[in-house]
Amino acid sequence: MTNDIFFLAEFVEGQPQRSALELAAGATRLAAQSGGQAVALAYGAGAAAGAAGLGAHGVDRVVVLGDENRPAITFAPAAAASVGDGLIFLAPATPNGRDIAAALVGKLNVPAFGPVNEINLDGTTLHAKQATLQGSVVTVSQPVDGAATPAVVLVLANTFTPAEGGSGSAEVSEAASVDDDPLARAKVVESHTEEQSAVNLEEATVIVAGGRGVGGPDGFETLGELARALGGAVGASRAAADAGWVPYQLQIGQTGKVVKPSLYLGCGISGAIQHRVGMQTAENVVAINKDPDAPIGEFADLFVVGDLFAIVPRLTDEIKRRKGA
Amino acid sequence: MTYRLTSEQDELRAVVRELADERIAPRAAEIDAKSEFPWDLKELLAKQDLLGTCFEEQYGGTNLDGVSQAILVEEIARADATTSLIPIVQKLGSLPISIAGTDEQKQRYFPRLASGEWLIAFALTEAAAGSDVAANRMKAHKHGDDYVLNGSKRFITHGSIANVVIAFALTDPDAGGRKGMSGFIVETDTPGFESPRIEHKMGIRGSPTAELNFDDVRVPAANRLGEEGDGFKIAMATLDVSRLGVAAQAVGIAQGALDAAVQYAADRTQFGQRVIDFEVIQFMLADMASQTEAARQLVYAAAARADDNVPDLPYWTSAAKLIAGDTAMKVTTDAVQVLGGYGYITEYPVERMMRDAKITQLYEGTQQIQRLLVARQLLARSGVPARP
Amino acid sequence: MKIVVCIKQVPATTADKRYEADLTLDRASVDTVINPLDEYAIEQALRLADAGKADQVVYLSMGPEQAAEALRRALAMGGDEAYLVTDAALSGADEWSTARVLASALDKLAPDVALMGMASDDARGSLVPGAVAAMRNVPLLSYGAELRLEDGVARIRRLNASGHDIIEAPMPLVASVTDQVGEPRYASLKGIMAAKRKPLETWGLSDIGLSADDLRPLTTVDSAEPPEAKPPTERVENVAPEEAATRIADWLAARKLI
Repeated sequence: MTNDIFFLAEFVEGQPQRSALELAAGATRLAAQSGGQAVALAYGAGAAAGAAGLGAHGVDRVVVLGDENRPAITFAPAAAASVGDGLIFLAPATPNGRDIAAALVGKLNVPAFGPVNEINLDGTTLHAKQATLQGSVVTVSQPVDGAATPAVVLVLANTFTPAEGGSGSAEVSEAASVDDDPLARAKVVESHTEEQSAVNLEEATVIVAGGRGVGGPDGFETLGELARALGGAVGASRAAADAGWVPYQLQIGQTGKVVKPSLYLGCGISGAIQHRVGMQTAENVVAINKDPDAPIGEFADLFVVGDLFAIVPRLTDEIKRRKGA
Repeated sequence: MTYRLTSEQDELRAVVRELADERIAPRAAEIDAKSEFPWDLKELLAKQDLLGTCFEEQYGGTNLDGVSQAILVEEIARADATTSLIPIVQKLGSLPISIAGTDEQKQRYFPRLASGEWLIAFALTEAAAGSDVAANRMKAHKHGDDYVLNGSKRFITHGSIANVVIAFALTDPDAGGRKGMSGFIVETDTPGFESPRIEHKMGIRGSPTAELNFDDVRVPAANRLGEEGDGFKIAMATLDVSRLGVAAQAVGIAQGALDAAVQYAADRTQFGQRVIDFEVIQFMLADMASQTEAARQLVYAAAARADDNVPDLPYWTSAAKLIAGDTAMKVTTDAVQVLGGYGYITEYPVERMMRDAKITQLYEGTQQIQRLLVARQLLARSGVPARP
Repeated sequence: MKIVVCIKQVPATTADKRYEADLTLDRASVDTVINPLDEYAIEQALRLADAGKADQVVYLSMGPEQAAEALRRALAMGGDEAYLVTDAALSGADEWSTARVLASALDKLAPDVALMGMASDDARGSLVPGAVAAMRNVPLLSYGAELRLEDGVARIRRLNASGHDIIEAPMPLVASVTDQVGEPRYASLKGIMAAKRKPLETWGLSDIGLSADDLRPLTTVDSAEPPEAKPPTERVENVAPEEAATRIADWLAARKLI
């Protein structure tokens, strides 16, 4: 067994996703503790060209799984062949990250954890902290003695903070070719662009989210102005997405995105459990709701009972004023 | 009878409750406010096979026992009394055919009623003949192979939306209502049939209560129920069973109000404690719960006896409807009291439930008529002759 | 065309949870439901069957004996037969051992499509579909907003950041679908009655060629605790909108969020 820490680095149009940079920070930290290397498994369009750049984030090695834009699961065979006997494999808790992580678990019969919001190493023993059962319990788990490695860990966004301003360069190699594997047979046959969502919600540090109480697309315009003033992104509850007020890409919750911003500001969102599981690890939760009994009032840090249509525009002005000052 | 519900009955309750909580309860306030018949919920109940529970399998029904049918109505009424009338009236209108209809009549109408494609109504009451059924005036003249119906009916639930109406009319006016009345199956697209007016009501506002006019409506003799002159007997036999539907509705309304009151009392804080922690409120809720349970058990006891068609059935069904209706009225009134000012406004459901409850003391025989029927059975049991 | 829908019985969201001494959930103590996200997989399978694209819809679950209730509920919605894998050795199964069991049972059932919900309600790794696909050595189509079966291939519509892709793979395969497939149907009364007569078979581990030794969990729980108590919510009520906006801005500024 080596003590290397592997992580998935997804590239889109030549750029590493924020999740890649966060996991680079996490892997670097864990590798320093374990005494191994931080190794990126890079995939996606432009991964080969961008691979070396991960060195600036403290990464020791980069293995390029593939450079094309194809379904994430198709990179899983190469990933499985590349992790060798590393200690830990970190994957972002996104659909793509989960697909590849899952395939590793199935192919290598290794333990799986997560999605976690905290990872600790005690020597080379992993302790993964996660909220399960819809947040009603927080567990810390570890691999059983003698379990195969690497332990697969799904990591929530914003669990690690990307390191800025490094200057190192990583050693880049191509993944060994893998014989025809059924997992590689999925292919994109059509691609449709419908909505451009400017910010990737899972990576936003500030999210202004709207629910049924926002009333329609116009209400979301109002939220958008507040989000811009705060430098954040707009999210939504399932009710708002189902109503067609925003695209599903903005949905937060059990069947949408799982987010972990430093500020979550919920407007006209009741806070049903299905939404809550998508945002419960946000560091600061502010809620505006006209219903004093809304469930979100029970777990928000600041709960303002009032009319969001009256409060939000004034809050936007106030924040612009203070930022301008 | 077994004194505990079967696992199938428990399961039915769970299934209907889930449907009612998720799909019916959220519509109840709107149905009431707009006084609109919930066509969407009628379709939903039809799709779930819940309008066919009183029909035999050969007609596409599920032929549930009486207790199960009561549970069905109860669980729908717990969410919305208006919607519960859809299965109640489907059964009320079908009973005369079940009791006195021919196989041909059943084959023609039951499949479409069991599937919910058609709605039926039961037209007995007239403006001048409410509780006094024998005073009915609508007439039916034999004319060749047809009967020609003339007259009007009032307070007919679903009368304006039904595809078929069971109408009672005098075929022998000289013999009077008791001996000279006959029942007819009238398809409502027959020329001369119209429903000119819908009542504005205190409760069950989404359920259209219609006035029906029959102006030379020709009905084939094949659509007569039983023999000429059987009408009164058929109508009374129908009501002896159908009032169980109203009784189950009343239990459901009471349970809905009780549940809302408990929920509110648990959520609301006054004087630094939860309302439910005040003993005075606990006593009210305990009474409401006990009374509702008592009414429910009497309804089930009566429903089981209806399946067995016991000779003293009116004793059971009238007692059940009497107790259940009065319980619904009392429990909903108390629920409004538990909610205080909030109970009186439309933001909470209990004021609607209180308005809905009132009808259960009125229709399918007022509470006063139920007492007469129970008393008549008492006299019969004791061998005391009725007043000459 | 045979679809096997894998479903899981989970505690109802509203239920209180209790833990055993070994920190596993005492599943007997709570109301249970079909994992709500699995209901979408059921709905998708039944829609394919309704459209004549599937001849057989079979359900598969792993869990305690009472998980048969979940299978009956699924059968009440539609479908043909159901299988429950139950064994004392499966108590506290992790995602890997769950996948192992499902993969072995699926080997025996040999479906064209093994269909799953996108996640389980009670543990949010969402790894089972991919792990099962890898173990069975078949393709995976995941997070489908819709599953289509045509021309001998399966296709899903999968949302991405800017729209959606149509992704296809040859069968047999594993697919998972999201809540975008459409609202699950309610079981009809006739469906419930018919479900009682549909075959529901219970398998032990040996029936699918596994033993308890094959399923030793790979993970162990050190501790399970309620979430850290947050400081109580600060409430702002009955103030004018200007005041509310100022209070929020002050609160954000105090935490250096603006």
